[in-house]
Amino acid sequence: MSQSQLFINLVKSAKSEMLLLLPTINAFMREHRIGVLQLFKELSTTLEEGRARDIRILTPTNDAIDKIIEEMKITTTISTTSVPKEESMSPFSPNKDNNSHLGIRYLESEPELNVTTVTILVVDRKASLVIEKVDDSKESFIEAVGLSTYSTSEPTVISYLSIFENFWNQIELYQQVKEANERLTLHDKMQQEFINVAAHELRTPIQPILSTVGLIQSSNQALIRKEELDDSINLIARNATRLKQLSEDILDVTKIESRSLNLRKEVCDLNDIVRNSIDEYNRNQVIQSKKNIDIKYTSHEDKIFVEVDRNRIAQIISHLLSNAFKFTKEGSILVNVVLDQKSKQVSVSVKDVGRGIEPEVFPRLFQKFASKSFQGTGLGLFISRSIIEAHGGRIWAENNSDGKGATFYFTLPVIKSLQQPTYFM
Amino acid sequence: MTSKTTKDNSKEKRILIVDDEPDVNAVLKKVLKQNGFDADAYDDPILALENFKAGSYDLLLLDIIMPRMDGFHLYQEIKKVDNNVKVCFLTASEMYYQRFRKEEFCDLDGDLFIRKPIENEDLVKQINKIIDQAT
Repeated sequence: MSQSQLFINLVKSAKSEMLLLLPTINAFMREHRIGVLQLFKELSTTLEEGRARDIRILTPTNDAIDKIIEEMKITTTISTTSVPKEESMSPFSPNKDNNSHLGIRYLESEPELNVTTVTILVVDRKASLVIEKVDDSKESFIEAVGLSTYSTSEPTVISYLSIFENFWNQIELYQQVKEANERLTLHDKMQQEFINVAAHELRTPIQPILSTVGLIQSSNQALIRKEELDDSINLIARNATRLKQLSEDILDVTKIESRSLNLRKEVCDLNDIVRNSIDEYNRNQVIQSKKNIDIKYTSHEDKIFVEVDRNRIAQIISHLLSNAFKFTKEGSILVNVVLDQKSKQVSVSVKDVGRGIEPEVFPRLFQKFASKSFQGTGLGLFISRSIIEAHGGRIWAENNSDGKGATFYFTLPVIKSLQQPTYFM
Repeated sequence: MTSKTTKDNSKEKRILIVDDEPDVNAVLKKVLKQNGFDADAYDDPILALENFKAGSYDLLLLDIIMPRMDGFHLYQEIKKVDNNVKVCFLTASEMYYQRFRKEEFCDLDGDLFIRKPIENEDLVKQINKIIDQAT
């Protein structure tokens, strides 16, 4: 019997599993020419005694092979997701389910000479056929192959099986390492960019402080007018506050990104947090000077219990309020707390009548340094989103339908609310 | 007190600052005036461009990262109006300067930038140096 006939017969005899390692591009092309791939495809779509076959091929690849495989619609199982690990690695149950499977993984390069330059076929873990090639450049199977070793001896078959499995798994590991490395490189790049922007943002408020102090030092201080001095102090205070906020925000971002932002959750009344945040905001001097803006607050429930980190939620509310103030010249800022009993969610909205959100900023609104607004750090909404999501809620923004200003919303899961006796947990 | 720069050009040197931080503008204007310059400032680059007239300034100090129009595009536009005006970038990030320069403006000669934050005295020194350089 010729080698190719033996090969074909062996393939046809497969009942549960067939593994084929092809050492070179040409080896693949020769097998393809004698119809092996087509045969594999057929075997993978038919059942043998009611059982499905697991068929796997290892091969180097090039454009021509990619095209053949594409046309035959064979699954390529390079990524870890397409074949569950346990299934492909389990030594004694090659095919647990009843779905036949024909999978291909690509050898990154042709195997080293000392590992294997042979074509290896392992069938049902009972028989192996190992074919040496004498001249890889030959197109036909007969011309290219040399000595073949056919074996049904268990130690031999298992040895070839393990060579195959090692290559098979190695490709998966290699892919994982490659993906992890790509993720790290990207993360590194983003981290570097963040540091650059953060450094820029930190340096900016230093200039007014440094220059103002310099001006005061270099002038005759006895001659400085009271208003001028007040202006200078306010300017220094404003920029120092901004630096303080920036340094806190950068620390928060660092914690968020290293996943070490700890939430101290406790059950509290959300209305209470909202009211306190508004009161605190109203006491703020800058706000008091803006007499033409007021905050209106409504909530239909008396108490809405949520399990949250009180300070963090207050931080978000005050950030949304300060955003609303920043972009509003005059009018009312509406804070609305609405309970949705069906979804057991509460939503808090902060609506302003400012200039609204610019369309180009919208897609990046909750990303780091998305907008550069006067007195803002560009990190507040990113931090807010991370905190809200860590509480199982959502945060989003819309421009108001009347064209005036924007509304920010966030939701939180509710534990229970009072004043609605029909509502139980 | 920082020494007044009297280069004996009789006329005050005119400087235009464009920076989107109003506090930076206000304070730099003060510093420059105290040191014998005539200074204008804009926190909106578009407005600065609209009001810009050829021959009206001896030096432009431009911030780089600004909304609506960055310092480099402002530079390009202004050069169309007044090709002789001296421009210096005033930036809190040398990296931005280098990056923009590499990407878009290879024809910029010399390192015409001042890094923020800068002490008043050093700022005045650097400005004088740039203005005194032969055109």
